[in-house]
Amino acid sequence: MNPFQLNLSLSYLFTGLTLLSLSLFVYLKDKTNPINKTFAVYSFCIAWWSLVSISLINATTHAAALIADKICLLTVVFIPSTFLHFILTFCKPSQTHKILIRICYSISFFFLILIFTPLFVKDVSPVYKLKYFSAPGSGYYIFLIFFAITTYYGIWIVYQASTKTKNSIRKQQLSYLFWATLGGYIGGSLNFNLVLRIPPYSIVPWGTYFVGIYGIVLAYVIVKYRFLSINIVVQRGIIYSITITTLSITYLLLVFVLEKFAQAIFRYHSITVSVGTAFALGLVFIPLRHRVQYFMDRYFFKGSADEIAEQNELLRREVAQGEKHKAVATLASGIAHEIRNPLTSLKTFFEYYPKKKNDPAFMAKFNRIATQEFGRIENLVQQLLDFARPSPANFQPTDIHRLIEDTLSLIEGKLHDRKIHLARNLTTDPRPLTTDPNKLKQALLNIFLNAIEAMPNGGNLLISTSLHVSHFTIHVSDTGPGITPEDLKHIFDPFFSRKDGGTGLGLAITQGIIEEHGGTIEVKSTMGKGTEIIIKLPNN
Amino acid sequence: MSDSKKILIVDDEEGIRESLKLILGDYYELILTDSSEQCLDCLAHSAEIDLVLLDIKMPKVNGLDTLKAIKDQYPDLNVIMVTGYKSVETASEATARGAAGYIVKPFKSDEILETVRKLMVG
Repeated sequence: MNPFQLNLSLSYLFTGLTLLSLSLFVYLKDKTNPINKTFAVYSFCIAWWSLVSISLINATTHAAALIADKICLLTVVFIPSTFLHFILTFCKPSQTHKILIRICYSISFFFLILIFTPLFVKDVSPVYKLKYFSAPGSGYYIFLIFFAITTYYGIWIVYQASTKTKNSIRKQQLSYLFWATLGGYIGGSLNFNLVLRIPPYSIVPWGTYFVGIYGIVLAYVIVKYRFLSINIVVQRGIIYSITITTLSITYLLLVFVLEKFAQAIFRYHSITVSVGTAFALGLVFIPLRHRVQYFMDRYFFKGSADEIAEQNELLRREVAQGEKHKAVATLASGIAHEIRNPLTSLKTFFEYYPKKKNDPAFMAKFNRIATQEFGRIENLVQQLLDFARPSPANFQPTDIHRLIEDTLSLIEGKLHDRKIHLARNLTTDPRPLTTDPNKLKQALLNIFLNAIEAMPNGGNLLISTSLHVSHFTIHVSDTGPGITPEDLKHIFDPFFSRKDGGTGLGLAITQGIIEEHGGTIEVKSTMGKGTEIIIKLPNN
Repeated sequence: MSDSKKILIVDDEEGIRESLKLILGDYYELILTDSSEQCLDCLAHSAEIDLVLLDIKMPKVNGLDTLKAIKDQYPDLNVIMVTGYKSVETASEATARGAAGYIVKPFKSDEILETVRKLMVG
């Protein structure tokens, strides 16, 4: 075995074992989740290719190499379709892509049949420092086109999804997936250099290691990401990779020694021995890996499994609260500014009080202004508290239409005063949603009040609801003057207000509440026509 | 009233307008307005005004834009900016646009009187 052969075997072993264990791990973590299922199949295909490739490049006879190559290709033809299936399930969970996925699998099946003809792989022949490697037939080139198209399309979908999403956690998750996929595919594609006999060959093993790392990243993105900060993911990913590689070297040496031993004793040359040994050792490897992982956690992350679980939970909460904390910090500095005005008037009035207390005109003004300004300070503090206090959410099944009506009853007077016509277009199938009714009422009230403020001389307020597969939508539209595109960008920023006496907290608080419900809020506006608020709440 | 100098106060908040009135009312003749439009309208129609006290954070047209509008039409008129935001950028921008003074809320009555008096004498 020459150094290149050894390094390539190691890279295949690392990638194969990593993906095989990840495939099992992700599948067992959530057997019913389509994302986990498609990932398991996809990573199994890569693992199979990777592990069987070890037998191919180490085969001692032409016949053995040819059989190994065909076994190897059994799953290679499915890598493009399972990849696309996984990507579509992950990036666009709300849509089904039956036709596209069926076409892809049909093409894979077509190539599967082709494997057994010389059209796909003509033969196995020497390349660089390897005795045997696939020599492509004409069908292989068509497969390459299929492989390239699905890869580019898949990566493009991930990129698109990452730019479109507004959820910061999802965005990071998708951009992580994007870079990992790009790295994994660039690395893995170097194997085509060997197939197509295009140098340089020496970098192929290094590229293959990337496929294994790619698998680790993917699995973390799917299973663990929400529970761990990205730094720890990277840290652990690297440490586990090093561990796996170290173990792999030991295993490869064992396979090598056992094979030599078998050859010496039984004078028997067969790929069955290599595959069998690799597989048997792989089975031993998985439980062993858990032990190693456990020790790694203790040494590198300083804590028992329970402590780590606890840390993970803390980190998860930190991520969830992160956005809110940022907003609170902005709010606090905003409050400090907002409070200066009432404070200034109070200070001045109290300063003049001893001198002017016998002046009835002063006293009347003093009473009015002081009450007003104290009220404002109180209000600001209350709003800050409402926003910052991690008040335990009180989620319960809620009749959403009733909640809307309750909220509307609070603004009836204002609607009447301003001659605003109220119209409803509510779905006939209002399934109860799990919400915190008090908070949601506050959110809706803020939106309704904004709409009313936008129509001082009358207009139409339309409230409509609709039920979708994954969410429940509430639309609120007014016929006010609209919001300029420039202002629209800052509409959710705390203390952004164009209203007389507006604190600019209403929509910031509203957004916080909707996000706490796992929903989204969006504002669309056309100058001169009106503004539309779209709230989407998860339909659980 | 010691003299008949006229000051125009522009602030969207009643509390601040009334506070400035308390501080300056015994010494100067005051005109209170609550927006940029009212301020410019007042400058166009009232008899000669000696000084403007202008709030920066106002809805619709803010104080800095109002300052520019005032300076375009009345380059010699003294304008003092009153603000809750103590930022170097805003202060230097106000000075660049021709503000004669810059007062940060919460202000002291002495501070207001002194700043105004200096400008009135000068």
